[in-house]
Amino acid sequence: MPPSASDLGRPGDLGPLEQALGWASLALGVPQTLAPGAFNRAIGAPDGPRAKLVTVVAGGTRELAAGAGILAAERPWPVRTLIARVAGDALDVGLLVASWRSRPQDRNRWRLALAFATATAIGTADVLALARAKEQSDADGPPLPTVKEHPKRERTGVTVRAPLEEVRAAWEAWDGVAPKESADFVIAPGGRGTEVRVNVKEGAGLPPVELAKRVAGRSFDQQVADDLRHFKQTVETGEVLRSDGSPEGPSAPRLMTQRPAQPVADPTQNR
Amino acid sequence: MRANVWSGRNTVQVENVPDPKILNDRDAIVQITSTAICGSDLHLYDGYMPTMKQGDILGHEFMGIVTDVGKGIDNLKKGDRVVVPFPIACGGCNACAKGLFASCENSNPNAALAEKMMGHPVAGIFGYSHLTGGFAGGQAEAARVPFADVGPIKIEGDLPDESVLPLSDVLPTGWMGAEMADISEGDVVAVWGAGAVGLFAALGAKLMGAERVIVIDRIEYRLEKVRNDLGLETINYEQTAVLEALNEMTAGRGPDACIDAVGMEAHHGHAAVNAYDRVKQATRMETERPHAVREAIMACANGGTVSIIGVYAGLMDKFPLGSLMNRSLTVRTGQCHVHRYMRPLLERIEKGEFDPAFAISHTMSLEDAPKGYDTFKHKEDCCTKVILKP
Repeated sequence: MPPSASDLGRPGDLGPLEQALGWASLALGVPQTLAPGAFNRAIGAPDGPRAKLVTVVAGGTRELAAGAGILAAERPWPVRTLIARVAGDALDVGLLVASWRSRPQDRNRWRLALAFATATAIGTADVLALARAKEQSDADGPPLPTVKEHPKRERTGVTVRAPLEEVRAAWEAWDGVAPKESADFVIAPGGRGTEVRVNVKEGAGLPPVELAKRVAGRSFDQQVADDLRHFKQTVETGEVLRSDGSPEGPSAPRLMTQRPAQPVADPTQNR
Repeated sequence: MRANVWSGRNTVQVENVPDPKILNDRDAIVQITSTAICGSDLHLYDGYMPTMKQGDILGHEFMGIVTDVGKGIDNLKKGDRVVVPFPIACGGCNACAKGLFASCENSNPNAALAEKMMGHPVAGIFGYSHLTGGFAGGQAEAARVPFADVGPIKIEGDLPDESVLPLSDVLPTGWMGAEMADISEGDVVAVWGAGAVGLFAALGAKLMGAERVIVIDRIEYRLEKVRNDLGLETINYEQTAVLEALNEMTAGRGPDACIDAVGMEAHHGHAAVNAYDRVKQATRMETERPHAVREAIMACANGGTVSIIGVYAGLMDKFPLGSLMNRSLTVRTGQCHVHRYMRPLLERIEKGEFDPAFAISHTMSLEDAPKGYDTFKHKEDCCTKVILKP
């Protein structure tokens, strides 16, 4: 009975067979990727441009991915990577058989035979490791859910250096994008003014549309962030500061289309 | 008007551009009488500072005569002679209230960009990329100065431009570098870089009471200036192993404070080490070439202070954090909060305690800006500081 993840003392650790297969993948992947011609000659396979391309794409890249999958991504039981490895072993055996048949007179065929024996042995180890990993993985039960993406924040805030009542009154008179009624106001600690927080969540549209809006600087939370900057500047300095690159003041869409930092010929343009 | 604009890596040109106009109530327009090329302008010139755009007017060190003010300005009037600090600061936010003018929360319209790159925004700076707001700079015949009621300092006397223009950046920057070193009696202070900021950091350290000040560079004429004009010690790192020399000079203790006045385009005396970071920076795998700060950390005495006043843009590697942590070092750093230092330093200049004009080596016409950048970059003709006259 192989040790379970917790038996190994360090949850998430790999068994020795899986470790060996992971490092073997990397050891095969590096020469297949960096020196495919030399690798092919060593195993007695053809080393023309097409064969080298096949070795890099179908061999090296695959082995490096498998090594990374076993050693880094899929601990402790790399079931999916091992399935991919078994499929890859079948491909290797197929390619070696094709090479064997394509060069009947070659005196280096013994190398192919040796490679065939090695591939078969590795394939057997992969099948054994897969069976064990599958059994253990099933025994462990379903994996704990992992958070793929942080939940989108629903509130955002800004600190305004002014007394709470002044900030609240300014907000009442403010004609902006941020949902007015969602704002709350708290006295910031240590005489830092007033903390203002508002909702930034709105009904999400189709993912591609949301992505396009974000790239263009026009998603709702970007608009609210700009609005809060304008509000803070207006309360603290009396107006929204304009620059040559951003004549409208803080503006997420303008970040993508900055003007050169030189005066505008007509300053009423682009306002 | 004529202005010096960035037009690509290693290229600047003097062009006709529209005249600046009042855009905000607290603006002033300044007709420029003198403007300088800063060592940090070379980071833009060399193409290492992200978010530059062709046509950006360069220059963040300038002074001149006020020709127009917005309706929100009552402390300045037409005809006033002013020096303008390089950071733009509103005076009304929490950062400004604490004297952290270079961290102003309201002066950078492109704050969202800076937030993405640095976590929180940085203040607006004249002529220093769109990351710092996209403001036209002062290497021009005139410039618009936002929050003119907070930044510019009036020059009432008849001191020449050369003696007060350094108040816009290099003098306060060097001074703050020395102040952050927290110098006390008996301290040995080492300064990396003998450019204008390094010279003023060394001067500041001396005036703040350091026992010994040692300046490190590889440009011999600059080290000569340190010895002749300031009477301080020097190390040429291309001829001497710096750590060994500093250890010997301090009998094994190391300098109590180390000031990095070099920043992101440092050189290393060893060609292979220099090439390593040069390649990484050129291929944008790191934004910094951080030999000076690495060496400053390694050299510093246990429990000492490393003051970083040289400019950095983003990310570096091989930062000796273990040395910092295990030897109880303190790091202090920041873009200079120039507004804090202008008045007290002007008073020292007026009293004749020192004349910062000693750091200036070249005076040229604005039209010669491309030649000025080239001479400054390649350290030709014993160049330490170039002033341009529109």
